[in-house]
Amino acid sequence: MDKSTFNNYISFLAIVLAAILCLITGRSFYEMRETEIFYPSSSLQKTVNLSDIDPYLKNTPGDSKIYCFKGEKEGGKTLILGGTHPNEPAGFIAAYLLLENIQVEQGTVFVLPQANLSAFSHNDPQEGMPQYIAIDGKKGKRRFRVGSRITNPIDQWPDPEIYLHYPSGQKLAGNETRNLNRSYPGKRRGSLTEEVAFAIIKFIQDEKIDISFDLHEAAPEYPVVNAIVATQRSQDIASEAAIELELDGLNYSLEPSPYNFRGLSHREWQDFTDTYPILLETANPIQGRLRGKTDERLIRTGLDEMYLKAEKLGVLHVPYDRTGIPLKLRVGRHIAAVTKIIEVFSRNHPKKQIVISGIPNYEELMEKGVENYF
Amino acid sequence: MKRFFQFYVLLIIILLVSLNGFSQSSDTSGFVAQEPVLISSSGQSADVLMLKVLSEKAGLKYIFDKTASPHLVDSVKSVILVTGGSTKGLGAANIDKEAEYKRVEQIIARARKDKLPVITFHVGGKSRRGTLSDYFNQLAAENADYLVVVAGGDEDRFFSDIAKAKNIPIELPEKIASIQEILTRIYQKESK
Repeated sequence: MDKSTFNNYISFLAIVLAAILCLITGRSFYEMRETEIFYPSSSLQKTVNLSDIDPYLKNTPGDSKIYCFKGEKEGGKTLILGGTHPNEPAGFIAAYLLLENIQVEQGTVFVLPQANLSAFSHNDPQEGMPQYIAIDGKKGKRRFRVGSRITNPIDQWPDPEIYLHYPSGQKLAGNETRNLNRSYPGKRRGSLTEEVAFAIIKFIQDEKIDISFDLHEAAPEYPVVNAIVATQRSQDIASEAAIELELDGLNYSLEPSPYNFRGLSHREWQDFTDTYPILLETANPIQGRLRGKTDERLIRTGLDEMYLKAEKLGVLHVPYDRTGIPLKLRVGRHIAAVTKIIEVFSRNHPKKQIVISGIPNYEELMEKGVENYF
Repeated sequence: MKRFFQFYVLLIIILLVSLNGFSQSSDTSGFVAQEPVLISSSGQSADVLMLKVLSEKAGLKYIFDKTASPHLVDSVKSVILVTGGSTKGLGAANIDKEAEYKRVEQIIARARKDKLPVITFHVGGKSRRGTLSDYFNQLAAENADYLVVVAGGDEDRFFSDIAKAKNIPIELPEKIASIQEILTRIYQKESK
């Protein structure tokens, strides 16, 4: 075989190899577009798509679904958002757990489990994040996508050099233009992310939602962690709830919603709607910069050797030991806080009571695990 | 044998006395203050809101202002400072940490001038410790007439040591909810 023929063989082989790699990785990428199947509880009254609120979202990757659960007695209304940041698993798993288990006796509960639906269809490059978390529950083994903090660039591209928040004109890094939690109050006929934010704000306004939650996770070295973030309107309810949660053995720090940082859910829900805005944060090492191996196990256990070292150095804002911060604990904290805040709200607003049941308390989740409720 | 027995009894007494010294720097039973009270922050953490809720439950007459200016001290008969730093809180209040420090110093100075007691509360536990928080904690604790620290915030005896050095009475309740009883006692209110 002469040198030229040999080179042609090598080139052909390289092309075939590249095609195989493209096929494997392409398939893997494509699978991220397959949406989850949920099994809502028997309290479900109806579902609403964001495009029903803002028709401009029809047939777009931002057209997420809101599940409406209504009690027999009239009462207050609450909206619970998971998946604002689909790389924060306890936020969306808590919302999934609620929608599959909740029973509403009085009032109305709306659950938007995948607030930024597009951001579930990819994950962050160079972060080594797992694509899925599997839960082997009563309905069989199910896998849920672990996405990205921001909208998929396939759905919203290109990013500007500098993101100018609408309407404040606040300047942020260009890729924040795809961050739902920097895009409120949103903009009609704006970017996809702004359009989603606009639809959520409009839903809160149209439905006259009394109290709204946004569920998140953050790194253990971040100061705002294991926290309830409240605005001027919601701070009294949040304070009362934090005191009562502490009596139940769950410590939450109380954080104010900053007036001068625009685009955040709680900030703009306060200023553009009449709802009581609440944002909840749990601590999760997979969000942090100090983490080691980043895999599904880390999501599940929250145990990382590097964070044990960080704890010894005193740089963490939460207690941390070999028990880690498991998913069931993080989901349990979200569920406990949502339940308590709704309870306090109902106590203070007797004509707008929201009475829910069917969801586990913190101890039950710690004992039986998340799997028992899926 | 008798000598050994006497030695051990003496040892136990010394141990008990010193343990008591660790838990409280000086007597906390007789401290009282009068209403109305100004409730303000030292470091702009939202923990001050919990004191507001507990004061409400305890039936206190209070003026609540997270960023109270010193002249407000003239309208009250005691001052409560809730200490703990928060970058979000400072941002929300649109104030930098140096200006906040100066504001707290001025409130304390005004209270001293008017001979009003300053009661400092730390309720945020471990999450309200660290460089930023301790910048404010030190100031509010050292200048208090009475200190109440929810136990998690004093694991390293930061507050207890200040209380001991400055001879300030200190209480270390386990839970934030216990503060309602403490307020009821200090302000001599009927228990609810």
